[in-house]
Amino acid sequence: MPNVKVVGISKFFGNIKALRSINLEINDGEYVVLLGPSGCGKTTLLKIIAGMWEPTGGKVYIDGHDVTDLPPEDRNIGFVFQNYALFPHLNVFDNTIYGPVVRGKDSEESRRNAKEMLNLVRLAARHDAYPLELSGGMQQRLAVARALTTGSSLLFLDEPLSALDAKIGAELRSEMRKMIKDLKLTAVHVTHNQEEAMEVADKIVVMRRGGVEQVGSPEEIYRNPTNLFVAHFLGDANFIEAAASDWGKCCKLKMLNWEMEVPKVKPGAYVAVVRPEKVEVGDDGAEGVVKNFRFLGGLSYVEVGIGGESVISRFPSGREYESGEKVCVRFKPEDVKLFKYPDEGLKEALRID
Amino acid sequence: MGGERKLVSGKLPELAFYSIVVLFFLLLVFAPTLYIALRGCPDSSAVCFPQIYLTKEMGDALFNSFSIAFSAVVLDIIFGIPIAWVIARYKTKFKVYLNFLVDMPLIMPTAALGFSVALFWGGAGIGLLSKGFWMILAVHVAFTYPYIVRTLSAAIEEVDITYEMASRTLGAHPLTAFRTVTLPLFQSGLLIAALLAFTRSLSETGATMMAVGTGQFFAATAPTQTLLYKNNGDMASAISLSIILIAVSTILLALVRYLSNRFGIPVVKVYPSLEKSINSLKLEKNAFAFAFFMIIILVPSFYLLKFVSYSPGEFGDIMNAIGISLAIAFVATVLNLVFGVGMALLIGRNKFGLGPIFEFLTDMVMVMPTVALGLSLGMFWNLFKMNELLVLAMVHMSFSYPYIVKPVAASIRDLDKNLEDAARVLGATPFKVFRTITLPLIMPSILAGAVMAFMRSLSETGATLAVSKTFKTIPVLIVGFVSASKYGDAAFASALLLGVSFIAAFLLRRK
Ligand SMILES: Nc1ncnc2c1ncn2[C@@H]1O[C@H](COP(=O)(O)OP(=O)(O)OP(=O)(O)O)[C@@H](O)[C@H]1O
Ligand SMILES: [Mg+2]
Repeated sequence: MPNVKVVGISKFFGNIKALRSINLEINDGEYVVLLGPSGCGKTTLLKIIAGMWEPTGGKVYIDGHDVTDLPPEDRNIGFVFQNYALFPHLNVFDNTIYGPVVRGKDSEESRRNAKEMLNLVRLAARHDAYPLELSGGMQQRLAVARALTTGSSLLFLDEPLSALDAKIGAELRSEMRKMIKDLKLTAVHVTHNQEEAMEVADKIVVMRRGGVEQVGSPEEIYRNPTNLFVAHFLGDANFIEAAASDWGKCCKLKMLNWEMEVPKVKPGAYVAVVRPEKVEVGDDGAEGVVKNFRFLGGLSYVEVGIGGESVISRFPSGREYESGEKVCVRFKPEDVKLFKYPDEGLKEALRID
Repeated sequence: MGGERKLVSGKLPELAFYSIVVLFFLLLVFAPTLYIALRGCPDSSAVCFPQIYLTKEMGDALFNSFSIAFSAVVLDIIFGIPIAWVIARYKTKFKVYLNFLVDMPLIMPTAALGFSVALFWGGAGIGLLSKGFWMILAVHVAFTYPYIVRTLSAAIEEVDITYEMASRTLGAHPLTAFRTVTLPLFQSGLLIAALLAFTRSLSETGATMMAVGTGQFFAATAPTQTLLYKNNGDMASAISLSIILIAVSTILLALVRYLSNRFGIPVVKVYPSLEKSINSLKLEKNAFAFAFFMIIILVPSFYLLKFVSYSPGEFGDIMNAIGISLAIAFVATVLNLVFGVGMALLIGRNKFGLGPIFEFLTDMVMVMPTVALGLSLGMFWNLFKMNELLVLAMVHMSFSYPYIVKPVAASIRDLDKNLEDAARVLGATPFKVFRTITLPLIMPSILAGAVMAFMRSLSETGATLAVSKTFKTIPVLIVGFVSASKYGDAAFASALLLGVSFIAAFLLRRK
């Protein structure tokens, strides 16, 4: 039963600290997504766990065994590379059976197994085609099939869908999750696409600048981000500057040109985080002027300028707004998450890179 | 396609430009090399087809040439692959030095290198080999090795390392991964490298003469035998052997081109336990290959520096020869730069669909044994009663021409065509595009090609010997010193030539 434990892993490339003391646990049968902006160290972490790179410090355990010094071929991890790395000189079938062959297990059974795997990813009919003759989606499925024929129940996927166009990627990701769950595999999937992460993950690990920011289920992270960056990176959010002052049993929160009562917090400067779907546009609340309106199909979106800030609301399509129209926005105290105003400034705290 | 058409304006100047380039190549480089096939009557300049015959003597020389070239290439590949792999794959500081060390023997003129290697193995050095077959083999391994390693490391570098990684995660040991994935993916590079080294060995004269015995002109290989015929006045035999050499190298070239597209290394058989145990011998650390490189290639190549002694009597001759060598190399390189880059454009861009043809013809010149080439060119240019120095320059221009065309054509082929189109759309004329976009981007390979061509010219012996009557280039002078047993002077001249080559390479690289 595969479980992975990463303890204090760090990796330096010269002066660049790609990973700083990462701790992480991946349980058997879990679908874990490493999510973070480009360059935050996701690939580095994956390659260290798979044994392709040596960490500067720290340990990797698989099934409780220390594998830090084991070469990749002895770790038994299926790996799907970002650009698939399908062997261009081997056809679909030979690519699929490559793992058993190089392990010296080229038996009747392994050939049957490989065929089954190709059936599973709907490529059996193309078994004698070469990788370059396949579409992007087919290549992706072949890469998954090849990684699985080794019989490994631990599957690593490095941005497996980023080379595909959005629609195909979206179709494949639910298909892939279903297959991985049916085969009872443990999967670690790297992406910088938050929508993809929300859809496939049991557990999301949000990373930034070589560190882990938050670990939790998609819902947990969306509803309860532990800091401004996570709130910003997962889903859209309004970030509103606010000031809290003591008001006896509760606190008064001043923001925009409006105020509301919130449960007691320490008085001071805050950033109020409100998801756009929780913002109502009406005749009551903070007064502002419509800056932009967009019809997006099922939903519509309106941006309301208030003082120097703007607040975005997303709502089921129906009402339409004109630029320059005077409106009010409001939201409920329970939909507001308060974070201490960051010392480095709001912009810096939200910065993606 | 339609959009591309519109971008091409000024068809006429373009046509004129490429006509000049092609004419230059055909008339001044290519045709003269084949002129020998029309000189059946060596004593008159009339055109008649030569008789081609093969005596026992010629057969022996050809057999020697082929077995030496074959053995040298096999040794080079076995011991070159690990070093090439380290150069391509390791990301250490050590790699930079290794890269430089591997290039060192390239800078050494082959006559000097052959002299040095012969000193090392012979009585003056460790005394392991006496002059003859094995000595020639040792010399040939030394000067072909850098060609193999250079070409192979470039080919390996082009194979994405992720393939090796993918293979490892699927359970292959490093050696298995290399053999089943990397090797098949660069096999055409391997074949080309082997061809280059093989034909260099087949054509080498100066270095061989250093390894076949002092004093007399002992003919051991086909090129030296050709020279011997020529010196003895037996032009008919010299011409016959030359034509056989040209034919054989052309056939080899065609064969390799054909094979490199069709030949596949089977990957099905895998020996996991055997390869694992070979791996655990730490062969991947490449200690053995590195030792081979140091002991067989590097140390023998520079062993002659131990023998340098200075005698004032020869100093004038040496300086004179260096001057002649430099002047010839300079003229040949400059002419090739002017006309070779045009040919590289034609091949790299496949203009008028002529790319493959001219690529093959250029390759033909490259694999042609230089003695045969020199003999043919010498006879051709003497038709016009040309000055001997000029004839020498023309000969050197011919055999060094491919060394500029090949790398530049390759880099033009790799160039993103969109960059040029983008510049055109932004309003640049074709000539402006070439000057501001194309030229800067291919500059590194032009320089690299120029360095190679210059070095080849500086170190060439066989072609010069086939032509020169009075003028002595520095490698010819060194050969002369060795036959007169003036080892100190030979070492001194070699060291001086080495110094000059080094400075020339350094200056050209820096620019
Ligand atoms: N071989 C290397 N040498 C030097 N620095 C490297 C190397 N590989 C990665 N880095 C650096 O390590 C950091 C993390 O890189 P990594 O590839 O892990 O990011 P990532 O999260 O996978 O990004 P992406 O989403 O763009 O793939 C980056 O700053 C990168 O520049
Ligand atoms: Mg990555």
